[in-house]
Formats: sequence, C-alpha cells, structure tokens
Amino acid sequence: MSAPLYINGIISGHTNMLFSIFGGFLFGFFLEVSGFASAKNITDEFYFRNNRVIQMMVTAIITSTLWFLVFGSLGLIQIPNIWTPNLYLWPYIFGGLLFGVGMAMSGYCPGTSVAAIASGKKDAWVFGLGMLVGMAIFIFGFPFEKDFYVSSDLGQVYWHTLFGANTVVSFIITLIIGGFFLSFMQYIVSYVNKNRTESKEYNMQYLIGALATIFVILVTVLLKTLLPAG
Amino acid sequence: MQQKGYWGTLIGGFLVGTTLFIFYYVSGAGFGASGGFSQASAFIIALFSKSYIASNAYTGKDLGDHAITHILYNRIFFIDIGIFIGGFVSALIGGRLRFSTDKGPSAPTSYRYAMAFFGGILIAYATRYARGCTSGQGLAGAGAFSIGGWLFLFCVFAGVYLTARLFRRQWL
Repeated sequence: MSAPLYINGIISGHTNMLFSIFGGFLFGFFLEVSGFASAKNITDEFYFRNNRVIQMMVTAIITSTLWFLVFGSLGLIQIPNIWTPNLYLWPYIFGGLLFGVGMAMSGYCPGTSVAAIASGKKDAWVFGLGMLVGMAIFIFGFPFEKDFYVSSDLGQVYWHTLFGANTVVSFIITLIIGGFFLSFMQYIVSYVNKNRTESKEYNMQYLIGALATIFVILVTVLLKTLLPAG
Repeated sequence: MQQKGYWGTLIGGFLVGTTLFIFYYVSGAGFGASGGFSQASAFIIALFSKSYIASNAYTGKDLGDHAITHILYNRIFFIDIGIFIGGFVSALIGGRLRFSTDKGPSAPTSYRYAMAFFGGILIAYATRYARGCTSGQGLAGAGAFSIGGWLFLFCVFAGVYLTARLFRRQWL
C-alpha cells in the first residue's frame, strides 16, 4: 500500500473528499489554537511585536519535508507521484507581490480567514466578502487575463529536479533557507524591540522587503539559467 | 469569556506540518484555502446565470453538464469546510468564540473593515495567478520541495514588508 493513496487509486474520490474535511479540521484547529485566527496576531509579525508567524511557517515546512524524507526512504510514499501546481514564473511573482500588499492591508490570508470567520471575527467576514468579490472580478475578467495567466509555464519544479539531485539535497536546501530566514527574523525582532522607534521599524521593514526581493531575483535567475524552456 | 493562552509555535508548526504531510500521503496534494472561495464565487454567479459560468473559460471545466452544486464538489472547498469547523471547535474550547473585530484600540472600525474588504479583493485576485495562497502554494509548495512555493512566499514577504507601513494605523 504505497502512498499517495488517492493518486495511486487506493482510495476513491469520495473518500478523498471526506478526508479533505477531516484534514481541513486539523489545519483549522491548529491554526486557531496557535492564535492565527486573528489579524492582530498575524500582523504582529509585520511590526516586529513577535516572530510567531515565521516560527510557525518555517517549523511546518521543515516538519513536512522531514516526513517526506522519512516516508520516502522507507518506500512508503512515491514522491514523484505527488501533485504540486506548475510554476508559472511571472504570474507567480505578480500574484505573490499583490498578495503581500493585500495581506499587509487586511491582516489575513485565505486559510487563517476561514478559521477567523468561524471564531466570530467580523473583520474576517468582511475579508471573506472581499475575497468573493475578488474571485468574481477574476472570473469576469478571464478573457483578458488568460494570456498572462498561462504564460511562462515551467512545469512542476522541485529543488531536486532542478539540480538533478535527490530529495536529501532538497531537504538540506529547505533547511538552509528556512533556518537562515528564521534566525534572521529572530534577530531583527529582538533588535527592533531594543529601544523601539518608528524609523527603526520602517528601516527593518525595508531591509526585509529588499532581501526578499533579492531572493526572488536570485531564484528567477537560477530558473532561467537551469531550465532551457524558461 | 476569558482568553486562554495559545499553543506554542513550535508545537503548532509541527502539527500543521504533519497535517500537511498527511494531505500528501492521502490525497497526493497539499492543503489549500483560496480555491474554495473561487468555487463559492463561481457558484454564486451561477445562481444568477448558469450559462455564463458554463461558457467562461476559467469556470466552465468545473461545471460541464452537471448541476451548479457540482461547482462546490471541490477538494479545496471541502478543506475550507473543515478549517471552519476546526477553527470553531478550537475557539469554543479555548473560550475565544465571540463576535469581535480585530483592530488597534484607536483605529476606526469602518477603516478596518475597508482595509479587510479591499485586502480581500487583492488577495483573491492574486491567488488565481499564483495558483494558491500562503497555505496551498506557500506552505504546501515549500513543504513538498517545490521551488514555486518558496518563490511565492518571498514575493509575499516583499509585498508585505514594503507596504506594511501604509497600513500600520489599523493596529494603533
């Protein structure tokens, strides 16, 4: 019985749907219980009140990839059979930047907003309404958006497929990026909180924004260099 | 109702990461959230004009010859239902279930709602191009060695930190 169960035909589509509710339940529960069904708690990260969002995200990413490594090496999951979306380079960059602006504005992202809607946050209800409107705008505008939407399709790209290596290399890269980013943010948060001033806060925001942009440029160059079709 | 303390981020992150892996193990794909809003929006439009949704190049494939409820027979929409129930149960157990608005003490409520609303529009629109949100593209991608997940996450951080200053007033 080798995973992924649904893709390998071991469970049916209906079972997979039922599982999705259960898995979503776990996700929503863990988000709320850790305090992320709250825009205030999420935006605390952006203004250096604490580093909880990044701690949570990096821990989750490293945990998941570690399970992949363990289950993959035991032959319990066929990693090439999993599905992740194709990498559409320019649409991803455009979408990511726009998403960031929306997140700074609203303090939510879609997953946390659903948990917040359930816990009675009225600002999350308004956010959800905005989401429905935004989706409708995309749907109505699709004839005009389609060309850009499907542009620069690089296929499914993983660290190990890009470098022709194995998942251990991918895990090490994940550990390096995640570990460096987490420690850097830990340092910045404690730095800002030592005699906090508004200008110090702004400078650090710009620094992080600039470094994130540099990361994006480096990855873009890497993809453009190593993928012939890019 | 008293507000109890939250679980730590190390245990929370471990549990979310493990949940993510269980998704890959069972479904072969990670969790997500934004797709459910897209389906819900298409469903609402279909209530007014089924033929529009059926002929639209983006939504047509989800409808086909089915009844419009088929639009909601969607993996991510089901995950959203799960997140809703999970968030509700956790808030109930933790004594955090109440009607409230998250904002700073001196920020006007209408301003906060306007920001939440327009931020929601931007985020929804952005997720279509990015093929997912911080959950479905960011965590699920980076948690499965996908480069696109990391690329998306750092674009989000760039967008957040370069503009956070403009929206700071909400939290004062």
